[in-house]
Amino acid sequence: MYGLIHQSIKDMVITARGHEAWERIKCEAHLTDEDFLTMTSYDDSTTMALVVAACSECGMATGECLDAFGQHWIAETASKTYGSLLDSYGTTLWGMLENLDYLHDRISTTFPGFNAPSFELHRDGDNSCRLVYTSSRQGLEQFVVGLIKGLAAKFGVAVDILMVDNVSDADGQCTTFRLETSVPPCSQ
Amino acid sequence: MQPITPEQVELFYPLNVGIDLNNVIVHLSPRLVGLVDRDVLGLKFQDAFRVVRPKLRPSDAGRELLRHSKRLFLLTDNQEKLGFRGQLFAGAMDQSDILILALTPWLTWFKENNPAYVPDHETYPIQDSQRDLEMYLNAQRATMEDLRDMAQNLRAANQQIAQTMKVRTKFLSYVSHELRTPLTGIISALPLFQSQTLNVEGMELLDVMKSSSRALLEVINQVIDFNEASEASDHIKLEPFSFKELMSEAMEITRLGARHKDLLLLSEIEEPLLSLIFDSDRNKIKKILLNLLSNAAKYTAAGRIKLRASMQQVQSGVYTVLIRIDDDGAGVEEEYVQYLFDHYWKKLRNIDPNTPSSGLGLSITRQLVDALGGKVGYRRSEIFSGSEFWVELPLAEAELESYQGFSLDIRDEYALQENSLSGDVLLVDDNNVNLLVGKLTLERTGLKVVTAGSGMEAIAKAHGQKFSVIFMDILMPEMNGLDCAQVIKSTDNLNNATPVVAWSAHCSQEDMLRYHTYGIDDWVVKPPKPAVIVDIVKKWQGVHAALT
Repeated sequence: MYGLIHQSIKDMVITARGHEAWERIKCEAHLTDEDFLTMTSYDDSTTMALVVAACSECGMATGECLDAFGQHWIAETASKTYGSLLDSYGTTLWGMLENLDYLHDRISTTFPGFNAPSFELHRDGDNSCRLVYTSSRQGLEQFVVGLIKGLAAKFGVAVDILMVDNVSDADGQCTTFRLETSVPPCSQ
Repeated sequence: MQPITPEQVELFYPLNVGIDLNNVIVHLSPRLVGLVDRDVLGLKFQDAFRVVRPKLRPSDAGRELLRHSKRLFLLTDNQEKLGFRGQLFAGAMDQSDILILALTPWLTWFKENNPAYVPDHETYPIQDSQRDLEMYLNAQRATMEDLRDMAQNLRAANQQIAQTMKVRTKFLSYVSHELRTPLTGIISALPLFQSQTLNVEGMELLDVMKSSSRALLEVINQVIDFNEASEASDHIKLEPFSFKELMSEAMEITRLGARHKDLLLLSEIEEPLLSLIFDSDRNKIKKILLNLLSNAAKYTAAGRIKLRASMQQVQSGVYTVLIRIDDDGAGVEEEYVQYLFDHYWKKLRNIDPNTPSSGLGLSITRQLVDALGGKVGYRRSEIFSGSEFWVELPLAEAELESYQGFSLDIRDEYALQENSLSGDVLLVDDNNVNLLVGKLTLERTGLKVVTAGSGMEAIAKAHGQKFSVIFMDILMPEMNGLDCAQVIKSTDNLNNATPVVAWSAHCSQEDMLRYHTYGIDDWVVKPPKPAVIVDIVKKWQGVHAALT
């Protein structure tokens, strides 16, 4: 994963727990300042070591931590890093979720080593849809939940998220979420 | 004309304009209708858009526009709220020939002129690379920020390290000087025992005490040298000197120091070096030679040590002097060579534990060589069985019409100088041991010594008796030596013309410059070596005699 993710975890921890906690996490995960170059690609094991150390320091379960991180990613990192670029991919929750693959196509073009996930949105009714998340990585479904919550907050929408299917094998993971809002998706 | 319609073009270019052969806009793609006013339909192309590139002539209308079909079109709407870029080609609509201008948002124009407006991602053709470039530039900017942050952190860390080093050096310097002061008492007192009746065993023990205390002093001096060498490049003192005489001096000092060992000291100097006078920091080069020679003597139990010097002219008046010191010692094992010039390297070296060494000598040597812009290195000796240390120094010839060579003064400066002086001197020191030992040392030279334990007492005594020299400790409570000297020199008393000699462990060149402003004329460093005391007193008695 890119150093941008590491940076974001760092920001989240420092905001929530302070610099001393962050130094302990960095030490526990055996990371140095060179592991936080925003646009440098690092091995996934480095990122996971960081997540595990952060969970341990904060006394949180991994899922809970990833959820919080997903929300932080949207609220703080993605908006600041991508700025208007992110805004151009959607002005509503459903629109943004539908366009995530387009966004990841662009990122993959710019960073040939980028191992991007895929998001397919299927509209099922007036106020519900299914989001199919596919990734070659495993164990990040709670991060996706956090991302959806973050996007919903960005657009000022309340959303219920239910994981209805989760299949994982050696090739990765495919998770289906049912998303429901209190108002019809067309106005989202 | 190609049978292609605007609808077909739209698949690749969501934004496009159809212009008929009369130069009238007849089609706007649905996405473009959302951006520009629909009223432009029916307007002449150049009335609806401001074309930046290519530069159009009035005749460039309708079919004539096609002459620009291989050009990049850059245009804005008439309100200059939107910017587009694209290409023109021929097509067909309703079986009529038209011109189709395929457009995409002009990203950099929007950044400059309308940053608040963010075109929807679907207005960009999929294959348009502008957005990729935008992302790439974002990434580069982020990387630059990371590097800037890292550089800033490194700068801060460096400053912190430099500050810590400064504090450490200051502490080390202070402690070393403080250690040297009591050692003064021991080293100065020991020769006084020689006149006492001692049995053989007592004499042997005295020798042990003398050699051990001198070894300790050497270590302390090396620590002080090390601190000074670390700032050596800031203090280069140029003076003319003869390399030949400098070599002779260093050889004689080494010979004296190693007189109890079975060593043969040899030297060889290349012909042109015999007569050249150089302009460089003589003391630093002397220290380099002495460090390497004493090192060779230290680690060679018996055998030969040879100092060789040769030179090469680099340009007119500038030379590279190569100094080589070979010995018959054990040499340095290959795996340790890389650590040779590191601090405290002796820990890795298989040496006699009784050989006194701070492990700083070679490190100091490297710092001094660096300060002079030279190189130093080690290799296995090709002429003897042990080591060869080599130094390359860039030296400039002194611009002098003539040069008076210095005379060699090689002697044991700790040797007693019995009754070689006469006259009355005042010794001022707040430390009772130093005062007693100093008094005895001075008295052995034949001087009559009056002591004062404080600055105030010294001033009182300066009013009551005329002295030929006043030896003044500097660091004293209540009134320090500098203030005391100033009072004596500037008030009406019997000694306002008497030379005042600083009697202190703290005597660097910088210190002396400062001391001079208080009226201090000269200095001796604790422990006071009898030979130095004799020189100083003779010098100032001579000056006084000449003036009177």
